[in-house]
Amino acid sequence: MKNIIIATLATLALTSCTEDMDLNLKSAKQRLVVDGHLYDVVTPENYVRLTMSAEYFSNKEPEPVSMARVSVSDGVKETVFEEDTERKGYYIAPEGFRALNDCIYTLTITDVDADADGVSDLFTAQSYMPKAAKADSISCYYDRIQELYGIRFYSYEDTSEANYYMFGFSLCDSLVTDTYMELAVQSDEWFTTDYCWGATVYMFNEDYVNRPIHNGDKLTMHAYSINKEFYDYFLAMQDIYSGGNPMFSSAPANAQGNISGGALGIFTTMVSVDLSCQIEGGPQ
Amino acid sequence: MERKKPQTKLFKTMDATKRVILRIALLLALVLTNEIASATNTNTNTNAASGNILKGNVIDAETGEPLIGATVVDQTTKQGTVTDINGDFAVTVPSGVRTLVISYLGYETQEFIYALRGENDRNVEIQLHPIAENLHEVLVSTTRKGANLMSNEMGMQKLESKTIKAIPVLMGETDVIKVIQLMPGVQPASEGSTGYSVRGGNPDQNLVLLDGATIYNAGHILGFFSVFNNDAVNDVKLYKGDMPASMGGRLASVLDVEMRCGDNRKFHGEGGIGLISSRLTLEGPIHKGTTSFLVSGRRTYFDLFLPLSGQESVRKSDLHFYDLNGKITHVFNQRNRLFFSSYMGKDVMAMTSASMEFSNKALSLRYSHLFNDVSYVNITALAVKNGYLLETSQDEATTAFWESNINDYGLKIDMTHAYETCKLDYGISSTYHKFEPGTAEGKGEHALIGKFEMPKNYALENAAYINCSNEISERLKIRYGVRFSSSHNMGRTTVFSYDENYKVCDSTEYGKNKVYKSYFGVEPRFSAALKVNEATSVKASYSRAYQYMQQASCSTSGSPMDIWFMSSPNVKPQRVDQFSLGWFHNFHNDDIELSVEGFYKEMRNTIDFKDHPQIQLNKFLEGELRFGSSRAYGIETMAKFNFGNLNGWVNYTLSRADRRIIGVNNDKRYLSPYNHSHDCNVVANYSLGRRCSFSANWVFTSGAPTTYPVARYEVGNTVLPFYSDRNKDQFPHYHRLDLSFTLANKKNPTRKWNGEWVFSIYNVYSHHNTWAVQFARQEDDNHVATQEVKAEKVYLFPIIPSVSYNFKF
Repeated sequence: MKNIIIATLATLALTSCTEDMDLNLKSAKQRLVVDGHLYDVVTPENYVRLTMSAEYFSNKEPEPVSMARVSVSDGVKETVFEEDTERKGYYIAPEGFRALNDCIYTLTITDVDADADGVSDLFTAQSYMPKAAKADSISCYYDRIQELYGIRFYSYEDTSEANYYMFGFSLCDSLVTDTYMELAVQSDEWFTTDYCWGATVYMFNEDYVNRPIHNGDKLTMHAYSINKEFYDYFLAMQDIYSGGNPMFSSAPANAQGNISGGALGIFTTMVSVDLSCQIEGGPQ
Repeated sequence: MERKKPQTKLFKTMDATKRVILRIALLLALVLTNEIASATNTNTNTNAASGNILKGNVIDAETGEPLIGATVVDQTTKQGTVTDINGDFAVTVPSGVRTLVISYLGYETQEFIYALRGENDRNVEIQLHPIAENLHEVLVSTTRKGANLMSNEMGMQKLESKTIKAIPVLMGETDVIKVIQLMPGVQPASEGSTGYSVRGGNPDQNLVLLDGATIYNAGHILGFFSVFNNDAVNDVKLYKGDMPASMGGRLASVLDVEMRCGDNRKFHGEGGIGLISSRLTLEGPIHKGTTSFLVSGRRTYFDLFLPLSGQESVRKSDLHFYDLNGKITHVFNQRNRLFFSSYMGKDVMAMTSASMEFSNKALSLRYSHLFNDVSYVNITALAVKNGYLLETSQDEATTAFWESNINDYGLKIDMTHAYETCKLDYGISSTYHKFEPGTAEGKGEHALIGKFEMPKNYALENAAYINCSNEISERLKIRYGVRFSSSHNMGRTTVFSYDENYKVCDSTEYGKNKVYKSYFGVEPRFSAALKVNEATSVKASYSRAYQYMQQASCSTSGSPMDIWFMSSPNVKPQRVDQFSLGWFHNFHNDDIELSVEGFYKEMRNTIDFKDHPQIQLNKFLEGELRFGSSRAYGIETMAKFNFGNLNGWVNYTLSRADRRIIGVNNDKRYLSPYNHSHDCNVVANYSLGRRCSFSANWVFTSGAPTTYPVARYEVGNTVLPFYSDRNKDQFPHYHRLDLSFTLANKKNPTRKWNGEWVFSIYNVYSHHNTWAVQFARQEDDNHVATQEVKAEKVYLFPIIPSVSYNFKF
């Protein structure tokens, strides 16, 4: 609800104008960037991506970090992730790997000289894999006033503890929400019922999905149970992206990840569930 | 001295030890009061032996409105005084036929000839007539020419309603706060905002009062317009440094807005039609000569055009605000008066999926009693409610409302003894605060959200003060006083404890009315003015103040959803020590008043927020806070000029404000977000005859501190910035020019309807001032995001012309 309110306030605020601006930004030393995801399923892919930070206006693909040793451990078994031969900097889980629920995973990265001092550096991170989510189903509706499609989410809720969710979706098996900033997060700290009767978690139109939408199209929602650490990181990222608006954002600050050794980014574990339905009620 | 009883009553809820300490402090204040009162009484008696006390009341001849701060001077002895809040004065004068000169800015000076032979044998009413061509006024007044030299209220600015009207503003909406922002050391929190920073302080460090009642949210439409309808405003005082001991509770400033009393002689009205809103004020006698009323309303009307839209979503939207001010004044007799003021204002914003209402309500009831020629008391009861209500209606599961309120109930007793060379004020105040930080509740059978309620908080804020202004000699005036303040957190509530990592580690429940934490503060205040020669004076002041309430805001410009909260076991009250030194010089027969004031402020227990705080509906809000210290220092220069047809002021401020907060910016010192090293304002008003006037103001402010990225990195296919230290960068400088032209009807005493057109242009040369800087990821021709990021300046107001029509009948 907070997001709805803030978005509404922003819409109602007086119309503002923008123009390009020349800025000479200072630069900082390069740092290792870790982007690691483990799921309780084989798909989506379990991987750890290593890159280097760059000057802000460099406007290039991030420089990948190759030849590192990347491993994850559930406290019992260590699994080594090998670098993808076709995608530099991507370290992929062995075939059939899936993370276990209610476990703490430790990521260890070695054989990387991030500060270019000729000595290999060590980076570690830990992430808790949440318990399995109890998602039930989704439905789709069309809001004729706002001219937007909405996705409603139905699930069983465990109100005895706080749970955190992340949502994305595909249309006709084509992933729409392929970046973090297109995903939505929600905590259930306000929820008091043991069943969620169709909360709207997404609204979109043809412009947003960049393709025509027809009744009968397959809509798949990707629902994830995430941990509190990633939820907070995600909110910080949202804050950064809404940044610059003095009305609704706090002072610009970095999102605090969980990687030791001065590296940026985050290593996280999450439960993934896909739910599908058909587009219906559209204007055609 | 018979005031011991109410003080005892007010502090009955404290625990025993604290009560004893406070009683001792209050006793000390009362002893001091006795000592000083005795000393001054001796003085007065000596003076009275050779003269008489003449008392009276100065009012506006047209409206019957008491004139506050009018100067009353004996022409021969040059002894004089100024009228108080009721327009009353008492002056000691020799026997015989004498002439009294009464002057007030914007009014014709009047000579009053009288003959006195015995003590207290005259009680007079003096009526001053407004100057017909009110365009000749000095814009910022200091009561009378030359009075600035010996006034020992440093850093105080007074504005009158007519002054405020003369200055060009955004969209033609006359605005008290926008004019205040043209004073030295005062800057808007962001462009167009009614939030403001005084000498580098946070906006929540400014106390805003309307007839004594606190206005917690002084802005409409997310802060772009202030809640003050200028037609209902009598005068405005801003204390930005050396605030009197009777005022406190905030570190940076007090903005004291006084509403007009209605005309108790005849019925009339005034109003205006503008691009954004229209307003109407009616006033007149309820009982001629004794009881008057004033009702003033303002409402925007852009919502009236929404149904014309082709889009259903727009047609079903709403966007408006309104204000309603009311005041009833009853004069029982020359000694007893009653004032009842009310204000209510609301913002309504609604779309198909959500609606919001923000509201302010304030009531004050003041009884004023004159004991004798020199002593009077004001007893004020106050009630304030500020809050917001939000509602979403997207679907059955998430339809919910969200409400937040703050309620105040207060009582103040202010006593004044105005002797010839000494003015003694003392009093007590107590305010009960009830905080309802937030309740969210789902609606309907399938509501996902039950009732989520933030713990309510209750607190009592008390103060007792004594203040003495003493004219030691013709060249030296001093003012000294002390304010004892305290705050007391009360149950029923839940208080959370936090570990060293700001995580909740425990919670404690407190029962109803249980005082679980008290803070006490002693706030000495001192100022002195020394006249070096007829045209020059130097002044110095020191003040300490405590702030027990603060605002949780995650924005620099402020939003109506910001939450007020009290000091508590986890939050110590903020404290400021401020030193000021000033040099004042008048030129050209006092037509030019030049001042240079330096200040240094040291603040303790400064509050800031951790990176990316979660403020709304967070039970553990105190865990998001970080604490440290801050300081601000600078020099403010101001030249006011009044050459008849041309008047105005020029000011320049050089200052710096920074802070060091543990847990923010790696514990390193950083600039306050409200630091503006250079600030310059030029305001000029030129009369082109009896009907026309031309006004202009130019504003320059160095860019606000900000934080820019120094690197980028990519996570989850999202490019993120990596930031430098906090506030190490700066926005481009801000400047703009505003103009206005006023054309009034031809003066005709027989005409009942008088009107004037006001044409104004905001930001004449359309400078695109930076409101925000955003970094936007660019898209390719297929609307796919690329790696390219560009910096974009966001600006709000290019050139904006406006026209409005004001009328009186």
